[in-house]
Amino acid sequence: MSDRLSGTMDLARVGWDVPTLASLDRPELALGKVELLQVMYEIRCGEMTDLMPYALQPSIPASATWLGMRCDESPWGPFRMALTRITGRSGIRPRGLVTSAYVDNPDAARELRDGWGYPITHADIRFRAAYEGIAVTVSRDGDPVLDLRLIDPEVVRITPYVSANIHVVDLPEGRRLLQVDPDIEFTEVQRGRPELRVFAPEAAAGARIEPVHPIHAVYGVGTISLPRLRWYFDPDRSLAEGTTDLAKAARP
Amino acid sequence: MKFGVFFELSVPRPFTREAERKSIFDSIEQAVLAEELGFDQCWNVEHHFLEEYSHSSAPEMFLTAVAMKTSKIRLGHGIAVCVPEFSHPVRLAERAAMLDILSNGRVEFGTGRSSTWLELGGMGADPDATKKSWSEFVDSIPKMWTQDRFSFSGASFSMPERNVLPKPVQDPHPPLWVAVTAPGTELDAGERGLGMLNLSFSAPLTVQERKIADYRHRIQNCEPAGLFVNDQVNVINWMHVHTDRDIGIERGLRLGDTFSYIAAQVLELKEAYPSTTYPRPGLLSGLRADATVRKESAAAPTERKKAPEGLLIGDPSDAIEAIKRWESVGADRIMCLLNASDALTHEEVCDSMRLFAAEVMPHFQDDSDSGPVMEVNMRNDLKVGAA
Repeated sequence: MSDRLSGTMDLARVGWDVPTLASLDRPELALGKVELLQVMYEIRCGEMTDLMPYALQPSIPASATWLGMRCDESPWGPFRMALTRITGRSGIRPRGLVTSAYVDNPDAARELRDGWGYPITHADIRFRAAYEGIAVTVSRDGDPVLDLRLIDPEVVRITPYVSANIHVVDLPEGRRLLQVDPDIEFTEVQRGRPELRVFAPEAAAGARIEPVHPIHAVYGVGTISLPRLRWYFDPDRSLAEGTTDLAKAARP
Repeated sequence: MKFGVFFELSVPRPFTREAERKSIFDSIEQAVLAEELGFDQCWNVEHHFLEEYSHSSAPEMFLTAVAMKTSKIRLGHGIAVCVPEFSHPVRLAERAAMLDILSNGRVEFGTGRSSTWLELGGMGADPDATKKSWSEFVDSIPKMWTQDRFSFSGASFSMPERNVLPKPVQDPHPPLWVAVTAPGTELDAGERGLGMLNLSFSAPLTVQERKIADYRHRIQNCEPAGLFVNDQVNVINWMHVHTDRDIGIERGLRLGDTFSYIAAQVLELKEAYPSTTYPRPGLLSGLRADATVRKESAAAPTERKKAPEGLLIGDPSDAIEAIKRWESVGADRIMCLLNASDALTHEEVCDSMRLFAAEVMPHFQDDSDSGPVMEVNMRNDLKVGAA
């Protein structure tokens, strides 16, 4: 019988500011006029099991995704966001463990952090969609943190795969993994060559990640619904033993 | 109904040279036992880089070893990846022909195009081009086997006139198959007169029934890729039986659960690359559906344990019932997946094979000869030896 692969990361030592959530009872929220840029790379990372807690399993080859988003219609006004996510699995599905999240709108930053557990840092973010390519750049205090690009876009009839997020959050019962799986509807999709021109160590929050092999860049226009929260996990137990189903927990 | 065995050559962690060697040699022993027990085919996959899931990158070598120790069992060379970054089609034709000679005409040739980023990305293949290359390879390889001079100019490869050698023993050539996982591939199979290699656990039986019916309908008016039509449906299925039903079900579920766990480690193409030719997850996602079997079969303590629909696990009567269901939806053959990453011991696997052969297979005696049932349908433009 095989020794099963599981993460070994100690979540008490994560390199980012972990949000504390007072409540997980958030209504679904629709965001309109959204543009999304996703760039994916295979990564060199030493032992891939070091990059995720026990409740998550590695995905082979080790990979990470960088997401840039521009949203023009939200309750908090327009905002831009950029995420770094390490690919892992909860059970049989790929997930993105979020190591950093940058937002340029203070109201959006507060709500996304308090409501859905995004580990938000305020930053200056530019999102530029042009015929020759799409670029998302993030800087803090004038220093570049992220620069992700799609070069030579072509329109394609594909629904790209965007995995659900896993956020590390503090709940009354302790540190937990919160699954946030936005419902994304694209009306237009473009595909092109990926480039990650800047990836500052702070965006990896201490994880030793080296992007080494580009996989894809995809850009989509559409809408996103931030979901009602459905599940969270005990990071130190298997999914079968450590999953809390919020819908079931709410029922009398 | 005919029965075969199917080997992925999965290897448990931690990887050692000895664990790898043992997995391969246990499988060869099981293949030899399969022939002794009356199973009529032994299939071995082609995969690359799939840690734990499948260390089977050279099926023609494994099957040659099996061929040297057996005399009757047919050898399923599959699923040969028809993508030029993996193998030139000439090399696929040459290797299969040599195996056909060494085995005295026992090769069945399975084709596919891979569905994982781990493999396609590792080989530097263009995922958008794999359907085209598969189609060109499948049309070309039978001609390489049967023509004295072959030349081709296509999108995935081109070559000047050459005599591809050696030629297979089977006349005109080994039967052709394609792995059917993505929706619509059953129509590609029917269109080209290829046998359908189907996964038992990729969809409910009602969906499988419709797929098989669509395949049967399409193949009636096919343009065969080879020199004859192979109109068989071959189903890959978990198999573990035991005289104690609870033990059979527990081990069978362990088998499926382990396989789902190792399959889930692999990054699928659909999950990594937005390609027009992989709109849906492929083979591994089909296997992953089995991760749910444990929940579906979980019964209250007072209930009788139940094997998931269509899987050959439990006691012999469970397997007989499942096979009858497959017969009723149109399957001709069932290939038994016997182990996954040493979830079961070699002895447990062999005991299950013996019980299956003794108490299940006799219920499905096939009076036809041991070769594949094929309708020969020669095309004027594909005469053997035509330039």
